[in-house]
Parts: sequence; structure tokens; C-alpha cells
Amino acid sequence: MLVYRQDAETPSVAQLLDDVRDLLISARDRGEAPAQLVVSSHLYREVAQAKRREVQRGFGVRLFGLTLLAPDV
Amino acid sequence: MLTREENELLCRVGRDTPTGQLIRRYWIPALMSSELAPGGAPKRVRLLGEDLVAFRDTLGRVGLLDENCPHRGASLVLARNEGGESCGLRCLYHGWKIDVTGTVIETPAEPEEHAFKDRVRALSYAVREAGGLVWAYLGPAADEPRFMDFEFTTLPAVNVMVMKIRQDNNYAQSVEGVIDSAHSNYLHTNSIRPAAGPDVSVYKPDLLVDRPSNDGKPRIELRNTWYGFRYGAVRRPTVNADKNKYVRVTLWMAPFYAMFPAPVGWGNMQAMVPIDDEHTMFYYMKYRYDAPITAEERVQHEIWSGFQAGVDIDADFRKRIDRENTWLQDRPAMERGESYSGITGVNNEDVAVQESMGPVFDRTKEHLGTSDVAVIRMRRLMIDAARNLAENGTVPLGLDGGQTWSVLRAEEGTLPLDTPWEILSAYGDEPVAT
Repeated sequence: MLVYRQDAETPSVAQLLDDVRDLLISARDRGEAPAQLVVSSHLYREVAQAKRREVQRGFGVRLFGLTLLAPDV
Repeated sequence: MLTREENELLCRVGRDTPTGQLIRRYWIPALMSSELAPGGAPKRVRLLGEDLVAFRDTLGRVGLLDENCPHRGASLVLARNEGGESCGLRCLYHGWKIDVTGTVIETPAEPEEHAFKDRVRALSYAVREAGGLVWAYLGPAADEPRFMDFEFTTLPAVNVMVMKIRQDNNYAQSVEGVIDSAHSNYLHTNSIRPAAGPDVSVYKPDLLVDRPSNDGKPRIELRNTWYGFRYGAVRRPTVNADKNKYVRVTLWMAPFYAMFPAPVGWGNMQAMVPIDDEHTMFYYMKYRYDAPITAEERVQHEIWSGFQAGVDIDADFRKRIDRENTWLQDRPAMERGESYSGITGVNNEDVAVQESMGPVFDRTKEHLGTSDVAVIRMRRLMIDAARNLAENGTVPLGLDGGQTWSVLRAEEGTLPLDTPWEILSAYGDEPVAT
């Protein structure tokens, strides 16, 4: 599992993707195969809103194939 | 992917949009110098959603004005391009004459004693010519930056060729195409073939390319720079993969310029200039560092790209191929195994896939992979730059120092495994940060 710790108060999804891509590559270089990504509730909602057509069809909220999780969602 | 709001921010380039304001802070290509003859017809130019007119007066000076006459709005594309004591465009409607700086020289229907012409100006933009192009700066006059002196603008004219086509898609889709190394292993299979032996790509006389790698999964390693970023696409070579790696370096220079490796002794650069939200003028500069390009070579490159004037494109740089004719894709040739894409011309393959995404692609639909790192980084940098300029007046990327673009080149090479790829395309004091 990866955990995204954001520096900015309200990072953009563009920033999230850029940061998480590096986290994922680093994890894979260590031989890990994460399947989940923990993000803030704000980011979870942003991504879920953008992907609402898929969420409505039961696809789940995912980035880079990682299932997004949020503390209180 | 991007949220809908981020996508709009990235893609919309009108005068009152954040990214439109950002791009206006840079020097951008307006048209090719060869499109304007002294005393010749004015030419309509649409940049960032603005309708303008370009002309070359009888003294050879170039002007870029608002298309509408400042009097009552008739198009200056219809104007007479007059010489004489003072040169300029004479509007057909009431005879107002305007010079390249936008100064109104004559208002013949108005009493001279009113000196009306001294109290009116036509909107004009700063222009300069270099590298076979007319460049324009559309931002605030007080913030005019230093000129973006890419290497091709410093070479003799005979060493440079410029191709230009109009694409029916938003500029960002085109930029994302050129900074995406991975697609060349698939889309351009017709033209780029794996080969054993060479350390770098070999361009045959027919311009088909032998590449020293068959690796369709490049590892992309990216470094931010003062001008944007550069990345190394690292692939396993066809020979000695246990000792070496094959690296292709690509540069992205804000807001929409890119360089990628060319034949030895040559440079490649592309500019994806927004005409408006749904159209882009694509400029492709090829240049030889130390020798002229022959006439035969120019024709060869045009054929390879699919950009032959009079054959593939018309006088207004519109293509023969488009969505309506499915980019003239030859399905029978694909079925016979003669063509991977069915589309003729390397750059036409890019044009087809970029236009096929729609006029302004909805990036909420995407599922990006880790190989999309350059696309992801470019979007982040552009979105941040647009927001920072709008909210804080932050000087845009690349314009805040005294560096020169003229040293930038994109290289390729086969390196020992333990040699950092960064030794390719790194120049002097170029800062490197992740």
C-alpha cells in the first residue's frame, strides 16, 4: 500500500499523479507491488468526481491501477 | 487524467484564460517569413483565439496588427499594401493607412486640423524574424522577455527547413504526442525498425530508421530544468543488453516546444502553437548544424513526414487527410501486412491519433500509466505556471533567468549500464533537480 502525504493544502490531481508516479516507481524498484493508494478525502472526492461514470458502473476509484482509499470515505 | 477544471485550465487559451495569459508571455511563431512578400498581400493569422493580420511593407518590415481596422472594423486582410512616403496598409473602407507599428498615418476622410490620426492607434504586437519564422510577443509590453534563441534561429538559413501544418485539435494533445517516447515503438512501426549493430539510429537514404533497440517498454527518467524538463527514455539495446543501454533524450521547453533526437549532425524541433482552443499550427524545424540542407533532402523530409506542399497540404497549410476521410487510412494495406498504421507519413500518423482524440480531449476519461511520466509532468508544470502567474504574477517557466536556449540539443546514444543517462543533452551549468 502506498500513502500519499501531500505538502500543499489542496494539491491538484495533476500534482497527485506526478508525485504518486514517482512513489510507485520507487516501490517497484524495491521489489514491491502495491495495489492501493491512501489519499486525503479531498483528493479522493476529486478523482471520484472526475471518474463518476466508471464509479457508477462499479469500477472503483483508481489511479495507475491502484485502488484509492481515503480515511473517512 | 485531470479533473474537468484542470483540463479546462490546461486547454483553454483565449485572452482571458490563465493558460492563454501564460502563453502570451512567450515569443511564439506567428507564421513563416516566406509567407510575406514585401508589398504583398496581407495574411490572416489567428493566434490564441485572436484574429490578426500580418504583412510586410515595401521596406521589408513586418507588422502584426489586429485584423479589424481601428476605425470601423473592416478587415485589414483586404487592405492595400502601399509604399511611397510612408508605407503601410490602407484600409479599403475609408482609406485609413496604418504602418507596421500600428501608428495611424492617414485618416483621409477626417479634417486634417483635427489630427484625429494622432489620437488613435491600431493594436499591434511586437514581432521579430529568426530561423525562417516571424515570431510574435502578445503579452504586456512592459514584460517583453528576451528572445527564445533556439539553436535553429542562430544557423544560416540554408541549414534550416521549416514545415508547417494546421491540426484540428487542441495544442496540448500535440505537445503530449511529441514528448511521449513510448509511442514510437507502436505507431511508427512502418518507419522505425529495430536493428542490430548501430549505437544510434541510422537514417537510410529513404529516411526509414534503423533503431538499435526493440524494447517497447522504455524506462523514462525525467529531470526538471530551467526551461521545462528533459528526460531519458532508456531501452534495452538489440546488442549487448547485459552491458549497455540505449537512451533517447527528449526536451520539453515551456510552453509548447520540444526537441528529440535527429540523425547525426542534425537537430529536430517542434512547436505546437495554439490557433485557438480547437486548432493548432504545428511547426517542424529540421536543421543541420554544419552544412546546408540540399533541395533533394528537403523533398525527402517532406515526403517522410507526409507534409509535401501541393500534395499533402494546400497553400493554407491544411491537410488532405482529416477525420472525415479517416485520415485516408489504408485498411487493405494493413491486412496485407504492408503497413502497421495504414497511414502514410510519420507525422501524419501523429496527426491522425492526435486529431482522433477529439478537438479538446476530455482527460477525465484517461487511465495513465507510469510510462506517461513526461505527459504527467508537463501538465503539472503548465497548470502550476498558469495558476502562479494568475494568482501571484510569478514569472513563467524559463523566463526568469539569463540562460540561453541556443545550447539545447536532444541526443541519443548507447551507454554502458553504469553511466548516467544525464551525460547526454546536459549543458554546462544547467541545473538538474527532480
